[in-house]
Amino acid sequence: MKDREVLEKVSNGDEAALEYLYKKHYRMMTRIVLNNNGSEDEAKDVYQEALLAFWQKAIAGKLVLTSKISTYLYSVCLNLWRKELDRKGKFAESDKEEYTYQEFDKRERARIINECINELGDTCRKVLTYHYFDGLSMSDIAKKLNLANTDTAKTKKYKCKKKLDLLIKRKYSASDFLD
Amino acid sequence: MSIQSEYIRLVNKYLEGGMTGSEQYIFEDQLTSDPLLKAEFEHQNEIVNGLKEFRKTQLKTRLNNITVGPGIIGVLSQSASMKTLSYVVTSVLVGAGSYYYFNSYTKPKAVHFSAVESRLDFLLPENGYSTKAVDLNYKYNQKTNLSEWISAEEKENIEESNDQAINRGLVDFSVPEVHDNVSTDLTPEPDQILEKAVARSKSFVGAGEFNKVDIENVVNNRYKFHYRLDNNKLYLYGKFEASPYEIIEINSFQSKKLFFYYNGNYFKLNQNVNDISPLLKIENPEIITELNILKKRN
Repeated sequence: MKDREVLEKVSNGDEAALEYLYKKHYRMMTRIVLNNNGSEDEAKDVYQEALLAFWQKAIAGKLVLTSKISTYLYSVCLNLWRKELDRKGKFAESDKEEYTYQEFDKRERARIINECINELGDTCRKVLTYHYFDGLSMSDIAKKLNLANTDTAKTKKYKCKKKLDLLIKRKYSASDFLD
Repeated sequence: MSIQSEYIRLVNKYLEGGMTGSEQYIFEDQLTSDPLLKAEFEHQNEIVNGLKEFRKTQLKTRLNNITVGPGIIGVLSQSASMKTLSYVVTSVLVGAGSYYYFNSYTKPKAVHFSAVESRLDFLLPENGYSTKAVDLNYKYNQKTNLSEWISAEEKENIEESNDQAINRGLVDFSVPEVHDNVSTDLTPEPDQILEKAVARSKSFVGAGEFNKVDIENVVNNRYKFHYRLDNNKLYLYGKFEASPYEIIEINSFQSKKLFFYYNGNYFKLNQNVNDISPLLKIENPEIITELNILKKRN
């Protein structure tokens, strides 16, 4: 499959094209991290992050390829790994305690939100995640989820978001978040 | 609509990029002054981030389920047994290489010693070294170059002698050699030439049976008077029926010279000629005189 075809498929939210790309460049991309003091897990994570950044940009129509996809991914992986190495370097021992506390609090809230997302129905989850993460337009969501039209998708999205807000509020009183 | 619902609506509009420039400016200003709005904004931001993370995890899980192993070479190079095998192979190669490399310095070259052995009438020890002085008590063996010129009895003796030499691993020593400066003497006196020739003829020997040159006459219309020497065999191209031809072979310590005699003329046979070459007549009177003497003597 040529780069142009892959990009077109990815832009339409074709997850099979994403899998194809992942498999195709896996060894080349993970080698960047593995050859620079990174572990196999770190290498995989960096590559996946790069690929998902590519996915989001392609769907949002913000990606103009001036090089091969592999070159683009390579540079993203390289930058991500450099940032990670910087973060590791700056993560001094003295900051560790405070960071851990803040991180714990944040993670706890994130865990609850994640729990509530899981309680949503499958369509709701898809509508919201396609909208917020993938950046798919309402018409694309409608097509992808076989909804009647764009307006149906919009209404669905509004209702699902409201439902999620309520689920979260039920689990925590307003003071838990607003204090 | 409660104030909180209004906050949620505003925040969602802002997060989804639904505000105009001025609305956005007012909202951001309000965020700094209204703690409730700020709290709701952070809360909504966390929900959006939560949804993003959820989808990211979903996609990553999907990618993680794809089997992406190293290639065949990668698998082989990573396996412990292949690593061990590669170490063993490398060690063997290095060992063998070292053995041959250092052995080439310590072991005398077979070619050199075989050459010496074939020429000297003594045996070297098996290891190729000798602490004894070289015994130069070799013997001469005069032989003609053409077997038909040798009487049957003589031939038998020569063959017997050579067989014995072979059996003993020895070869009769043949003495040198036409001096290379023969032709540089431009005005030699006839007497001097005769003396040189006689002296040389005494020391020269003809071709031994080992070096006997085989001859084959090849009929080829393209070549009238040519020859080719290949693997101690002389191929004559052309018609040579006018008179009998002779080969004069002069063996020396280091080289062998061949001359072709035909119809009263001598021709030099160059041994390194593998291609068909014309027979070139020898014009030098001194060489001709010497060859005449050698020819008559044998």
